[in-house]
Amino acid sequence: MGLLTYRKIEKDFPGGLYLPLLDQPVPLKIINPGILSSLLALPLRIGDGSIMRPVVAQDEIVKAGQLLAQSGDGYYIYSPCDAQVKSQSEAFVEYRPGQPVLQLQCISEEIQGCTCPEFSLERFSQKQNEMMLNVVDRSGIVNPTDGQPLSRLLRKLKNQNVTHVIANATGLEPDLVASLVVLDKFPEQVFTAQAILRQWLNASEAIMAYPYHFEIDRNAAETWNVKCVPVSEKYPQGRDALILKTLHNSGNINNKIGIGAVFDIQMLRQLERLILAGQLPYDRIVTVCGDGVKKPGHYQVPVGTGVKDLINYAQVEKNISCVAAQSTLAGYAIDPETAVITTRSQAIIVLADKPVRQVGTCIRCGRCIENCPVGIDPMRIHSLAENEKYDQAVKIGVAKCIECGTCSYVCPASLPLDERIRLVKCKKNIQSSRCCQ
Amino acid sequence: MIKSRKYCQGHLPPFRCCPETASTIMAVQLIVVVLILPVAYFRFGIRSAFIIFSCGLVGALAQVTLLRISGKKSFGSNAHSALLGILAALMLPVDVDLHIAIFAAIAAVLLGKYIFGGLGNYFLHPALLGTAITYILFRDNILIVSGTLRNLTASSMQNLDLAENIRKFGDLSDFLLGNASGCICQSASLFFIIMGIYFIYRGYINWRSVVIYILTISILSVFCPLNIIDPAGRDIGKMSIFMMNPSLGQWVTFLAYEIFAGSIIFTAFILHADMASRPITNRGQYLFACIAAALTIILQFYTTIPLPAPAAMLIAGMLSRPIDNLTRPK
Repeated sequence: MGLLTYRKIEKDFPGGLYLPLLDQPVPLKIINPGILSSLLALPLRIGDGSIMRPVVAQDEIVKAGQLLAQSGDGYYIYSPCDAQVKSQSEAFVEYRPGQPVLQLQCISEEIQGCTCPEFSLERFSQKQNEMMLNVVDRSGIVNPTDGQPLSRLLRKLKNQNVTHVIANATGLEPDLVASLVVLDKFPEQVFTAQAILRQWLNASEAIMAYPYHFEIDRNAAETWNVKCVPVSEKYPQGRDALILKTLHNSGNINNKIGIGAVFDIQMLRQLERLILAGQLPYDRIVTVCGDGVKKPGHYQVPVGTGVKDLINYAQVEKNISCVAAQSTLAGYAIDPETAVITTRSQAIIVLADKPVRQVGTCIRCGRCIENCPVGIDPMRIHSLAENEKYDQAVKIGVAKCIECGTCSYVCPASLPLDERIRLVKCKKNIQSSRCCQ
Repeated sequence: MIKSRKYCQGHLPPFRCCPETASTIMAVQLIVVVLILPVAYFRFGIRSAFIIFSCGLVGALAQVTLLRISGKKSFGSNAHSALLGILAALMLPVDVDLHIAIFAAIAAVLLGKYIFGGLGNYFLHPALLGTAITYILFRDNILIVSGTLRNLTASSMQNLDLAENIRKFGDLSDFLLGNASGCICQSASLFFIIMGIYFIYRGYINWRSVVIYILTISILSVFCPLNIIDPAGRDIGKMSIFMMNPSLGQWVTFLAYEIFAGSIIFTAFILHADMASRPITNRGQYLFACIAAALTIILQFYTTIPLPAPAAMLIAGMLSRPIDNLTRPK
């Protein structure tokens, strides 16, 4: 790649920054640790959805692929293996403690999920329109970005003029590259899913945005007619809103003609496996990293696996100060003793020494504004929020904030800028990644 | 085995160390500026170095004392106050009385920083404000040696010789290496450039602001008319450098003296590093640089204010908030 092209890619969106690695680099391969615990705790509530109602009784023996719980708004859970249903309990799910979970005691020796022929669409091209939503509706696939069922997202997109089906392989952070690992190991599956969605949504193009240094499988991409676009690894390129901005700035999509729909890579793989093999989603590839583990990696584990079991497998240090989920800048702290892996889990960051940030006063350095990828004024919003002037804060662009946490990270005074923005969003009922507590 | 149960709701992101805290920024700036002490010692003697050191110390002590008296927790780091004291000392003549220099340091911290609410809340550079107040109150005790070209001398308009006027200042290297008399801020330009390059590397100054500032000064100094006075001191006319139609060598010499002799380099690279007294956004800083440059030329050519560049920066500081309102994201 020429120097000019490289420089152009580096400036693909304003603001943003390059984050350093947390500790040692995470190997770019998927680790399957096998059964970490025979007891799984499957969350009964995902995102802001309603709580799923179990359709099985306690102590009932269930088969792999049997429906365990469902809700009226499109959430389903299936058993990943032959198991005995235990009691309902509570666990730390996503960012909420005390959430209901259904405990399963696995009977089978391995947890490999299951395939259900009723879910596969043989000769997909013939049955796509009628069967697609019926299949996805009951599959339990969830969009990790917002926790909504995939079927709901697809219904919404079907009514809009989607011109581009986009997948973003850029990691959330330099260590958190599970999407890239999935693309590296299963490129055919990901590109196939993009092709399926492109056809179903009548989109004109499928785009795979990937970090420019990554050696993407171009043959597979060409086979499925997916356009590969190299992008920079600046944080927060891994966010949906930013990749759309990047692709728009580079002329790959045109917002005036239609919209681009961004899909999570792991979700795409789940969709492909469901459609072509009837495999129900049962696992998640989660990055475990940080200076609190000796064996960081991308672990493929069943949903419902305890975070404690996972980080013990990753050889957690004896004394750790904090375990965070999702990302270091925009994530949240979790209780490793009771937290479980969900269909939205991206990463577990184990910190031996949590950095202590002393909050000071704003020194007007302007770094929050300079590095903000969406071009808002976090400093002013913070000041208005402190004085409870929420309406004025909304007027200057709170809704545009993607809650990436860049402003809080670069602030020399350690001001909780993104938390203030989240507070304003909660107060004014603007959609936020998580409700402030 | 997880032994620690400290987790969860009390812990908010980011879960990474801040790349640079405010205390670190101030400490780095202080350490870099303190490197002027050896220059002061070798060029102007131990007394000059002692005065600068004392002002830094007094600045830090003034902050500590004010904190104790007011009972406030903190209004900025001690390093920042020490830095203000040192900057104030650099803008005073090297042979100034010690008590005047100490007054300038205290005025910078008390009147320039504390009164406004501490670090981040003031809009005028505290060191500039403290120095300005000192100059006003002690004007009879402070002898200023002008290091900049403020007017041209000639017996008549026809006998105007630019080279002769510039030669009167002395060797340019004196201004670069701290050999010229006056304030240290006027004469150690090379050292301030090195410090400024480091500040640019650390991200404390936007290099484009510096370039815009120096370029604007260069252009305006060439096109703005200078006063022409005769040897008796009488005003005999006005003419710009451009109108004199100098040779290329004279152009370069004039611009070199204009930029390096005087406090322009000190203002561009050192004073501009104070984040609280300049606009927040990059665009705002470029506009600020243009305004400060224009004011510098006006004060240099048409007034007798000593140290026109820092004075211009002080006046331009009054516009930093309005510039912010114009340039901040909406």
